[in-house]
This record gives sequence, structure tokens and C-alpha cells, in this order.
Amino acid sequence: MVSVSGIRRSGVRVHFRSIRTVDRMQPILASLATAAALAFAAACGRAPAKGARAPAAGSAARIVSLSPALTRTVCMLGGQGAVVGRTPWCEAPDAVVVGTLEDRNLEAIAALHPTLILRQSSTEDPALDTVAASSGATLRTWHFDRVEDVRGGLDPLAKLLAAGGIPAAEAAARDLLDRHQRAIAVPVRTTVPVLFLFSVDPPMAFGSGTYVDDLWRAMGGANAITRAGYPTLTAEDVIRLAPSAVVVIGRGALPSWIGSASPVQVQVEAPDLLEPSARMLVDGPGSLHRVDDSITAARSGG
Amino acid sequence: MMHRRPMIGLALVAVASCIAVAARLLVVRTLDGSLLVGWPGPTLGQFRVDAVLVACSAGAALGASGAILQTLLRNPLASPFVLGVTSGAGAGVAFASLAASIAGMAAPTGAALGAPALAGALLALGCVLLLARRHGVLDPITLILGGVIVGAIASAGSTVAEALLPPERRGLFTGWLFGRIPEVPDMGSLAACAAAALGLTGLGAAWGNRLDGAALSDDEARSIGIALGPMRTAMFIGCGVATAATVALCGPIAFVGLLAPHCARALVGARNRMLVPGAAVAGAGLLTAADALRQWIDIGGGRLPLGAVTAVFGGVAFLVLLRRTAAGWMA
Amino acid sequence: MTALRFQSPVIARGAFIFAPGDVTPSAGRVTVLIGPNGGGKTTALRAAAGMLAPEQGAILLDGAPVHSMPAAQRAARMALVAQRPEVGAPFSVRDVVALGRVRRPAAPERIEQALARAGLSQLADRPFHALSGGQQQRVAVARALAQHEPGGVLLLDEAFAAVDPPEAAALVREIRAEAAAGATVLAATHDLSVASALADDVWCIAGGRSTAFGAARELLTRAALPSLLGVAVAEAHGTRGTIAVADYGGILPEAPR
Repeated sequence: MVSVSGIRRSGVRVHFRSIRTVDRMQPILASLATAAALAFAAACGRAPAKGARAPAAGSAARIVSLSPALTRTVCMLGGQGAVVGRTPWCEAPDAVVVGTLEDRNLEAIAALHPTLILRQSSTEDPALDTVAASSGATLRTWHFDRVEDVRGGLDPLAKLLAAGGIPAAEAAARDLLDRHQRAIAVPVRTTVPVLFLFSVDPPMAFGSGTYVDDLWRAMGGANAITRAGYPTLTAEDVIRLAPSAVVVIGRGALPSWIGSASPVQVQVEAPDLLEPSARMLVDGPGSLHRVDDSITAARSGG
Repeated sequence: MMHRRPMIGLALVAVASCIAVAARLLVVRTLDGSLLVGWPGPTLGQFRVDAVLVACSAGAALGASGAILQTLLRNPLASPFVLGVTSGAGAGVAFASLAASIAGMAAPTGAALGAPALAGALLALGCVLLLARRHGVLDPITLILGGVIVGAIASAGSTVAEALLPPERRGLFTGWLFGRIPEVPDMGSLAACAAAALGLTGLGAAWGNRLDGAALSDDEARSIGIALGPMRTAMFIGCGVATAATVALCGPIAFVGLLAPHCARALVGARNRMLVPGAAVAGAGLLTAADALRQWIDIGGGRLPLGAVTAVFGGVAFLVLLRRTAAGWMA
Repeated sequence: MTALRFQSPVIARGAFIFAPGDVTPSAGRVTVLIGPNGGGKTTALRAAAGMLAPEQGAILLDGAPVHSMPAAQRAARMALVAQRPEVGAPFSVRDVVALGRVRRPAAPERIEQALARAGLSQLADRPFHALSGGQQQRVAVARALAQHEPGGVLLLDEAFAAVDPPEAAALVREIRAEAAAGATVLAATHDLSVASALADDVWCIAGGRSTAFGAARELLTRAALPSLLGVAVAEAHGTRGTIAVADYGGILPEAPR
């Protein structure tokens, strides 16, 4: 008789979404164009209602977001007043918690009379589709993995928000992109390969094709890991790799063997680097510049 | 299958395990994909030595527990996890992660998970032992049922705790569920696991004849002079504690406790005086081999978690073994 | 010689009350337990083996209560063959027989001798589970023989149920030899012809009470058995005397055609 063994997952779940190569943008852009045209035709010139909870007629945006990254992006685009539904981990205190991506409360979502529902997932959610359709809401699924995903997603998202009664969103999007461009225009001084870890026990790294790698290389840096994705390494791997610097993103004590891996260890608590959102676009380069400063100081001082 | 010289069988098991240890110590696959053979020097070598110590301690504890449980429960499919200990440990880890998250502290990793895992495991063991008493004595069938029930409840608790964890912390718990041989183990946990493994193996060997007698029906076992009640209690507690120590050190590791006794039995025979030590040595070798395999297999996304290796190879090996074993172990 | 005595024990198992009264199976003789199913034969044997604690009265082994005796001490003087032999490990036949000596190791010749007496020398190295039901029962008896010291108590619960006549005859001979050497043997059986071959005394238990206890030659007869067991019995004449045989055709009235 075989007993319950406690292993319930069929694969290792990494912190962040794995890389996807499917082009998701085209059908979304087409639908957006149609939606935007209809929305503009129906609600030209009306000011967006702010913080309204009761179903307001007209074009007031009521956004339900099932992704903390998307919530943050929406807020940075000027839509924080419009977010009425969120997950427990989204930062939008005025919004009602409607559950998580996997376990969303459909009645609560419907009761909020949303105009826009946002989620990040690689699977369909037919039940949510039905709720969206019956509320007359637009449901959009995004995938924010790499820098170009977020960059490319800002404009369409802003257009959606503008169509929903937040006209300032488009200008906000342009502003965010500008700030991002200016930030990554400043090159980093550390051009030797650097290892970026988001976990130390076991060591897990940002490989090529991840957003930290994208940002770092856009600023002239080099990643010690050449393989794609978020590989799990062993301590021996890291020591053998002998990167010029090890950067640990996150809190927690560093194990003693990190000192043997590299003469330079930098630990940075940077929530903007732990979530692929608009904040990562705008603040991420700044955090990486601070990392660069620490590395440079350590290397010259040592 | 008759073993006139179990000592030779035991020696064979020991040799096989030594080969596994040598493989883990000397052969590794580097990040760029090449196989490196040879002793890497003191710094890197220390990781390998620690990993081997962990794998041998945990594997021995699991092997000895598995052998004793298969005898006491009179069931060739019994394994240390039948006591519900793993699920209890998982619940402990999940709740500790949740508490850290609520308190705003960094997520506990690696060694810090040892204490909550042990606490959860022992709590589950206590519940199972209380449930399994029948006529004042621990009854094997009720024990299995109790283990499954307590395991299910603990798993449900884990699910609840995990669902309340923020997304960025969930990966750690899921990673723990696969089990791993830590390269830098917590020395306290390692010492506890090694002590438990040695103690249980010694006790199993010393009580080998009594354990053999426990294979008979309850009445007959008592009639040949075995104090069944006290022996079962002592051995179930011993197995539970050893398994809890393993789970606290490495997380849940499937199949080793199930497979090691069968491997040992094929070479050493079914008499427990030889089987329990044989299963301990076999378990040490199997887990070390699994860890070595894990080092060598690189499918592009980094290494497989240990649980995946033990499940794939262990599962296949067990199927093969099952086909070959004389049918109908159970009366 | 070990003395076994049922001193008016009362054992309640749910609704069933076992109260056989004061019974002393004689040492040096084979006492066969007969009676209907569920009547208390197994309870009597288990109680004698110390597995059950009587609420009143006692079952004494050499004057001391059997139930509270330490298991090892009891095993030196008493051996039990339970109704369905269970072995939950892939032992060989020899391993199983050797289990009789786990607490008191003996020379290997003792094991070989027990195997030979039960006719199992050829099968000694085969896995226990590869044997037929009857062969497995003989293994259980061999184990008891290996454990048993001369003059002790032998308890056998339906030890002949699946055994074929030649093998059963060998077992009968060995058990009678033990009795002749001074053992107190208590054997339960349904098979009346085996009972006739084996018994010196007969103890009939029904509904938890003793309905008869006496010499076999008086009780295993066509006159006495029908009232005790509710069977029609025919008698045959064998080498040892009368053989009682259940007359299955006569037990029930003719079915209406």
C-alpha cells in the first residue's frame, strides 16, 4: 500500500513566469483597436469618475486586476483610482480583494461591475470570460516576462485605460517609457560577467532572456550565466563559475560559501527587480546602477 | 533466493554503496556541460563530502525505517511515509513560511526549515500513534489507516497555508516538497539524522529475531515469546523519529525507504538481523547515487530536483523488482 | 510435566461468554476439542495460550496465570499453532520453522529434526508462500514442534484442515509421540476421523460452555456424538479402534422432491 507522499506538483514552479516565445500581441492589438474605436465613439469627452464604487453610467473605468504586476503598472499609468478589485498582494488599498489568479471569486468580480479585467496567465479561464461578457467588461491577458514585454505592453494598456476614462494614461505611458530610456542610457561601469541570484539556498540565477539580464545588458553589463531562464545551480557550480561579482537580490542571510565564489558580494533589497512590471522598467535600472556602484567600489577598494 | 551466507550479500551491498559514494565524490557535471572527474580540492571537495554525509545519513535512516516497517506491517509496499510523518513535516514548513510572511520576515530557507519540519513530523507521528491503538496495542492495519488520515489532514493544512502565501514565496515551499541534499547542511540536523540512523539500525539488528517473529500473526508471534506491544511501540516511534529527522534535513524523499529494503533483501535475505543493516547501507548508497545522478543530468534548465530523480529511477526500479519478486508476500 | 488447568475462567467477547467451567486436560494425553463453529474452541485455545485475560477465574500453567506470564517464559513451555498461518515476510520454510526458537536459540539439528518430523525436509529451502495451504499448515506445526520442549503444552487450532491424509497421518504420529513423551496436547478439529486417530480425551464446547469431557472411546461414538455435535455419525473399524465419521447424507432430512 503506497501512502500519500506529499509531492503534489508535477513540475518545479519558479518564482516568476518562464519565458514564452509565442507572439501574443497581434490578436490583442486588433481587438484593442476595435474596442478603442467603439469606446471613443460612445464616450467622447466624459471625465472619468474617481473612486466610484457604485456602478456609474458612462465611461468611468472600473478595473479588476488579478496580477500584482499589472496592478502596479496600472497605478503608475494613473489608474489607481479606477482599480476596484485586486488580489491580496496588489498594492491598491482602496480596492476590494476578489481572490487570486487561480482562485478568483467570480461573484465578487461581477458585483463590482468592472469595465476592464486584467490577468497574467498562459491558460484560458472560460468562467472569467463569461463573467466579463455578462458585465460588458473587456478581459485582457498579458504576459510580462521580459523588458520588451513590459515596454511593448505599456502603450496598449494605456490605450485601454484611456478608452475606459483615464485619458492621462497615454501621456503617463510615454513618460514612463522616456524615464526608462533615460535610465538605461547611462551605462554601467562593471562590464565583467556578474552573477545575479534571487535565491541562495538553493542558488537560483537570472539567466539570459530574463528581464534583469535584459536591463543589465542594455546598460552594457555582462551576465555570468549564458543559459536561458532561471537555472537552479549548486554551490559548487557558483564557485567554479568564479564570477567577478555575485549579486543577491532579496533579503536573508548569505551563506558562507558565497565568499569563496567571488571577492565581490553585493546584496540588494530591490522589490522593483523582483517583479516584471512598469516599476521594473522605471526603477530597475536605478537599482542596477546602485549595484554597479557597489561592485565598482568593492573592486577598487579591494 | 535462499541465503546461506548473508554476510556476502551484505558485503556486496556495501561495495555497491561505496561505488555510489565514490561517484558522487569524484564525478560532477559543470555548468558548461562537461563531466569532470577527480578530486576538486578542499573547498569544493567539502561540499561533496557534506553532501555524501547527508545522503548517507538520510538514506540509512530511510532504508532502516523501510525495512522495519515492511516487516512490522507485513507489507512489501510499506515505506516510512506511511506513518504520515512527511505530510506533517510539510505542514510544519508551510506554516513556518506563512508565519514568516505575515511577520514580514525573510522567508526561511534551507536549514531554518529543519526545526518546523521536525516539529510538524513529530506532531503527526504522535497523532498517528494515538489513533492506532487497538486493544491497548498498536495495530498495523489501523496504523496505516491512521497514517493516511493524518497525512491527508496535514496535506490539507499545507494547502491552506500555501494558498495564503504571496506568490513570490510559494516557490520555496514547492521546492522544499521535492527534497534536496543540501550542500551546506545544518550540522545539528545532520548529527540528529546520523544518530537516528545509527540508533535505529543498531536496534533493528539487535532485535532482528524479534522482528522476524513479528511477521507471524499476532497470536503466534506472542506464542513464540515476543512481547509484541512494547516492541511495536518502540519500533514505530523509532522509525517515526528517524523519518522526521530525515525530512527535517532533506525534505521529503520518495522511494528510497520503499526500495532499499527490497534491494537489500535480494542480496542479504529476509532475516532482519542482516536485513535492517543491509537496508540502511543500501539506502545510503541509493540516495547518494540519486544525488550523483542529479548532478550529472542537465536538461538545460539547470539540475533536476532530487525528488524527480528518485521518482523516475526509483519508480522504474521498483516496478522491475516487483515483477521479479516471488508473488504473494502477504498471507 | 507442565500442568494446564482451566479454573472456571469467564471471558466475555462482546455478546459471547466463554465459561467452560473447571477443566483440566491431562498431561501425556491428547485432548481433542470438538464443537460447532463459533462455539468457543478457538477462544479456549487462545485463552490457554495466554492471549485473553479472564474476567473471573483463571487459566493456570503450572499454577501461575497464563495471561500475565512474561512472553518468553510462557514460550518455553507452550507452543501454539493458530488457525490460519500467516507469514508476512518472504521467508523460506526453514526460516519459518526456525522462528519457533527465536527466544531460545537451539542447535540447527533441532530445526532439521522438526522439518523432518513434519515431512518438510524436501521443501525446507523453498519460499513459504510458494507452498500450498496444507503444506503451509504443516510448516506451522513444524514450527511448534521446534519450539516445544518435552512435557510442555501443545495447542493446535484446526491444524489439519487442508492437509491431505498421508501428511495428516504423519502429523498425527508426531503429535501422539509428543504426548507419549509427556506433553499436554489440546487440538481443535472438525474432522472426526482425524479426531478418532488423534484423541485420547475429548472436550466438547458449544455456546461457550463445556458440554462434555471424557475419554475418546466413549465420546467419539455413534451414540454420543449426534447429541453433542448435531451430526449423524457412522462408525468404522480402524487399526486403532473405532473411527467416527460424519454421515453427511444423514445430517439433514431428505429434501422434498
